[in-house]
Amino acid sequence: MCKLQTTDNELVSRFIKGDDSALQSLIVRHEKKIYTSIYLLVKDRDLANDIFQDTFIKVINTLRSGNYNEEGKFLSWVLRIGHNLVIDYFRSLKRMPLVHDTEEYSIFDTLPLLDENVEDKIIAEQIHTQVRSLIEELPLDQREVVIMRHFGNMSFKEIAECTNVSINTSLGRMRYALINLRKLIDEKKLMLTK
Amino acid sequence: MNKRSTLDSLVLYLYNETELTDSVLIQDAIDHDDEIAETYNSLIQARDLIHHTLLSPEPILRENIMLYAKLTAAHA
Repeated sequence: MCKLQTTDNELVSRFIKGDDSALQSLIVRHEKKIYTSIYLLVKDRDLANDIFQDTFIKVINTLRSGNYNEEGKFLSWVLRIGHNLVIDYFRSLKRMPLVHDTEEYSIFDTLPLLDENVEDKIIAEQIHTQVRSLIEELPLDQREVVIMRHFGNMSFKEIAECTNVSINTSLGRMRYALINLRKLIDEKKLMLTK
Repeated sequence: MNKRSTLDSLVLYLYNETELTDSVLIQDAIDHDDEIAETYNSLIQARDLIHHTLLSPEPILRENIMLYAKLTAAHA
């Protein structure tokens, strides 16, 4: 028999009523997507750590104040909070994050993936790190769409509304992001499969 | 249908946001047009890679957040 997972809304309700373990469950469930989203925007671990914490401080305060009314879109809501904090940070610096240009990557020099072993896992992690770096190279508007679609599970219509563009524009940005990722992979000669 | 709208349709299809009738048409285009199929496969590869970029925050961050929740609970 399939065990149903407690929904985000149920966990939110429990937390509001005083059950801190419910908050912990929410964090565990979504922390990777939220943290990765923030990191891909700021490209700095220490800063991402600070904003991640600040995001959840805002979450806690808003939930307790009774102002949460997202109705089933907890992750999207938290991602928006994080995103806004990133924007606030860069406004405070009066600049936007620079896309790293011509940063040297060492050619991914490795053996083709063989059967499962420790070395393969290390290689796989290296690939993931390099792919993450490639996403960081995307222009900010394309990175935002990637983050919202992949980590926020937002539809393109929701992304368009959130970023104040047409749905065609958000689709185009995703299209260019995916195409650019493919180009970067080819340029940097990443070996991703056997 | 121009090339750009075709590509946008592929993106929608890739992320399962097309209506059923459009899905059938798009799949048919993928099945019978080599250029569209190649583009679609390229988009799939890029999309699948993104799934592997998730980072884990350091455990101390969650601890700090929970500590904040605990310390501020009394004042809530």
